[in-house]
Amino acid sequence: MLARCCLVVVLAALGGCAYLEHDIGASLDTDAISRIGPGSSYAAVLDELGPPTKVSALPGGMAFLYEHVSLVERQYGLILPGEIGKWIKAVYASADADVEAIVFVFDNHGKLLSADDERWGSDAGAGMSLTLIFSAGSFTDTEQYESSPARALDWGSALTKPLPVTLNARQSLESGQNGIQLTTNSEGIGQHTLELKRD
Amino acid sequence: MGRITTGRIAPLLAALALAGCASFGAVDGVDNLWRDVPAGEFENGVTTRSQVLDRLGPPSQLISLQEQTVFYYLTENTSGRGEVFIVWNRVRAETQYDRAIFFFDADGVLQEFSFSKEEIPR
Repeated sequence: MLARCCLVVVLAALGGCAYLEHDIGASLDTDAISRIGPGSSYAAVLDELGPPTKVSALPGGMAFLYEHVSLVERQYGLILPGEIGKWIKAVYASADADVEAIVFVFDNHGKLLSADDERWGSDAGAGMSLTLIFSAGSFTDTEQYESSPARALDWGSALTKPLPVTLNARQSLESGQNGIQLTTNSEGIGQHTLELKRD
Repeated sequence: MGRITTGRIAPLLAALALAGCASFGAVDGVDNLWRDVPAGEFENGVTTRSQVLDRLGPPSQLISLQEQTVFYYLTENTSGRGEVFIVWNRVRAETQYDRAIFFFDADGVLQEFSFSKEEIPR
């Protein structure tokens, strides 16, 4: 029994591990809310925090969303026994995300109606793979955390997407006309359910 | 003694020879021309929508509010570095954003503007 445990430990040590970090955007100054009182102009928010990550028109005004995401993925390798183990190793990966977000809602005169900030950590997923011994790539699906604000520039590509997605493009939460959502949201919930995507 | 030292150093040298590193980078969005604009060139209540367009080009996003128009400019720069060894690999990536936002009234006159504190060097 002890010998088997030792074998597993040795194989795990030989398999190696990897540490992947991705810092997306600058850390937010969450104390800014305390310096910006209710009724302040949107100009005061711009002075404190600069341009928001996302901005959208609302029926009675507009909203600013600021976001910062930090991803860490840890990978643990295990060399397989036998001849195949010379070239291929099994890798288990798990990812965690730290998210900061601040939202500001303004009336149609640009006066602050409400604001809130939140900071939380979440399990960003896990995955397993068989890979060549010398490689370091991501094996978890963290696309929803890493989707870029530059996605708004891809408006023309809507014509090449699946039909339910294209039909839903007019209600897109990326256009700045229909509201905003956190980057970390799943694409299988809320308004996106019209696109018939799985959660 | 010499044989022992060689025996210990050889695997270390082999490991170093097999190790490697890599760096990568990508830029997305528009050219952050607003970083070249001298302070005072854009002025609230004076500068017009067409002057901003002339100076900075088409915005990344144009948003229609109730009685305002918003020009939103975005540059995204992702860079990273990877170190690949036999038993320890590390990849560190960072995405930076450089943003500028301009609010115009119904007559196309600048009401407010702001540049991000985070800046991507040109």
